[in-house]
Amino acid sequence: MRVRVRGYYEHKEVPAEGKFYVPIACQQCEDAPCTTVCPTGATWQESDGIIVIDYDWCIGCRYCMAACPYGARHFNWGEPNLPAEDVNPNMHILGNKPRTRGVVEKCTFCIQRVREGRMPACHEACPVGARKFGNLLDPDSEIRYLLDHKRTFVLKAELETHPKFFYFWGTEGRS
Amino acid sequence: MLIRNLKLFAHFVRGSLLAVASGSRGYYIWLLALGILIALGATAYGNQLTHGLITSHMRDQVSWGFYIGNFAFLVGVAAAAVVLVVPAYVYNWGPIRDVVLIGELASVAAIVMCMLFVTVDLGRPEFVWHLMPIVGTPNFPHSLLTWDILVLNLYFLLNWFVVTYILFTAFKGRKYNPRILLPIIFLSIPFAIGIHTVTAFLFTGLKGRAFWHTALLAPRFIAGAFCSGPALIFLIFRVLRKFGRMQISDTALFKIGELLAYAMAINLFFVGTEVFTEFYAQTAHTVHARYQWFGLHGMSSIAIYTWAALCFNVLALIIFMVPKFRLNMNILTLGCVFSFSGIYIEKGMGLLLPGFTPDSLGEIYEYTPSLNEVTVGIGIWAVGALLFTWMARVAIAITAGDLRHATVSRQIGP
Ligand code: SF4
Ligand code: SF4
Repeated sequence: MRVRVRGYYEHKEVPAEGKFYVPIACQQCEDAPCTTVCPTGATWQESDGIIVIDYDWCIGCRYCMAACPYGARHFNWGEPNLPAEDVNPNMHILGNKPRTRGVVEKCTFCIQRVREGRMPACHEACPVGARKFGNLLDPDSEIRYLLDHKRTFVLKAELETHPKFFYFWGTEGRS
Repeated sequence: MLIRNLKLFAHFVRGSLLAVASGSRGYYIWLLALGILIALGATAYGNQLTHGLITSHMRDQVSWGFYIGNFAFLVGVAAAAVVLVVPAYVYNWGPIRDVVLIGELASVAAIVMCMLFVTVDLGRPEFVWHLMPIVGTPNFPHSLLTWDILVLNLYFLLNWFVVTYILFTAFKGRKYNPRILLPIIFLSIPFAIGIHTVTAFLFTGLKGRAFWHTALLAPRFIAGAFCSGPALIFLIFRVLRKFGRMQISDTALFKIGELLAYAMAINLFFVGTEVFTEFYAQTAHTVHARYQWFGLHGMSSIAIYTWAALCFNVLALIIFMVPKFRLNMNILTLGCVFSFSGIYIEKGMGLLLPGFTPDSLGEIYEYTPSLNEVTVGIGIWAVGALLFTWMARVAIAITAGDLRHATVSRQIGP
């Protein structure tokens, strides 16, 4: 395990010398330890595979945070302070609806977008197109092609959480 | 019959209230001190309710801290206090009833503290009913936390029943029926082991946290509990003998010392096996143990506590092993203080924090509890002490024969 001493991102320019970048989000595990441990059943896997949280049912015990091997869950320690004008009115009750203090939240693959057939916001925002997103069950999808033709890996494969978040080498010469 | 018993029970409650309301000056000063601590704790908790858990120093990297550490430790105390019943029974320590009583009272107080510590740790305590049956949706049997809540409540009921039954029968001036009492007492023993095992499984069951994902965790929990619980009971007995007119023989107290020698030897053996496994054949997962014992990258605020706990426990073991020390009441008391504090560090935050540090992505966040957290915690300990004081007062008044149905009716009318 590589140890990061300072937690927060501190470089003015990227890529910084000697650094290797691994963006992380919720891995949308097929066998998600976070949902098993939740005492109230406030978090579960949707039929399309997305792990969601019912923010109205969560009691904030944070057992799921202890269970998640990827640091993907975040707790609202204080009062959220997103200004009203920055709130996205296109909401999903299991996705980007405003969370209250005292509940856990996480990445939902932008459920409010992908359920409408759009791409997740991170996918759309990435300037170099490093992110791919799609239906794993569709044999003709781009994501399926990448999984079949590129060298891919998942994080902490030994835990058998079976993430649906893959890393691949996109540069031909290095794959 | 039922009506008569209900009436008697009402008398019993009134008599008990009278017993806790009156006492010496020292007693009132003690109550006042506890009251102040509870008020401080309540204020701090009010602050937490207003601003959220941001008043603690827990953060996403270390998402459990002082509260859950105290919870894990207190489950051990609750478990081990009752286990003392076995030797009390086997060795026939004079009035076994008194040993059972004090043990069970300490358990009841410890469980109440456990529940309070879990409650103050919740982000939204007002929705705690979401995990209750019928009104909520408990994720049983999948979530170990629902198991823990279940066994803790059952254990609480068992102990509460035993205590009330013993006291109520004594209040009526009768002798308890061993055929009712003994099976329940013996049932509470596997339950005692059970609550602590389930609490250990809460942590062991997390495969993403290498530090806790070990089969030794539950045995270590139990071994630690057997060091802290009896040590606490010993200290309580000494205090009660001095201030509370409680009869307990020296032999019984020395026997607790002997028991502690075994418990502490096993506990330290477990520490040794764990240290060997972690450090002799190191893997990436050793990083947590390295943080625990030496710190990482100069961040070592916890290491000093780990070594302090080891020193306390070794000193305690020496005291418990050497007959000259063990049979000296004052030195033995010191040993019990060492044992209790050593385990408090080891089984409280000493167990919790290295599991989260470095966090699952390798980040080191050094956690130390905030003043607000500690104040809430002190308040909860004061609630436990107050509860125990009141229960013990009633118990002693009844067992000493001062509080009887006959006397109460004379005082408060029929
Ligand atoms: S990455 Fe963590 S939060 Fe996301 S599904 Fe897996 S265990 Fe759950
Ligand atoms: S914090 Fe919320 S979602 Fe997570 S385990 Fe507790 S109740 Fe479930």
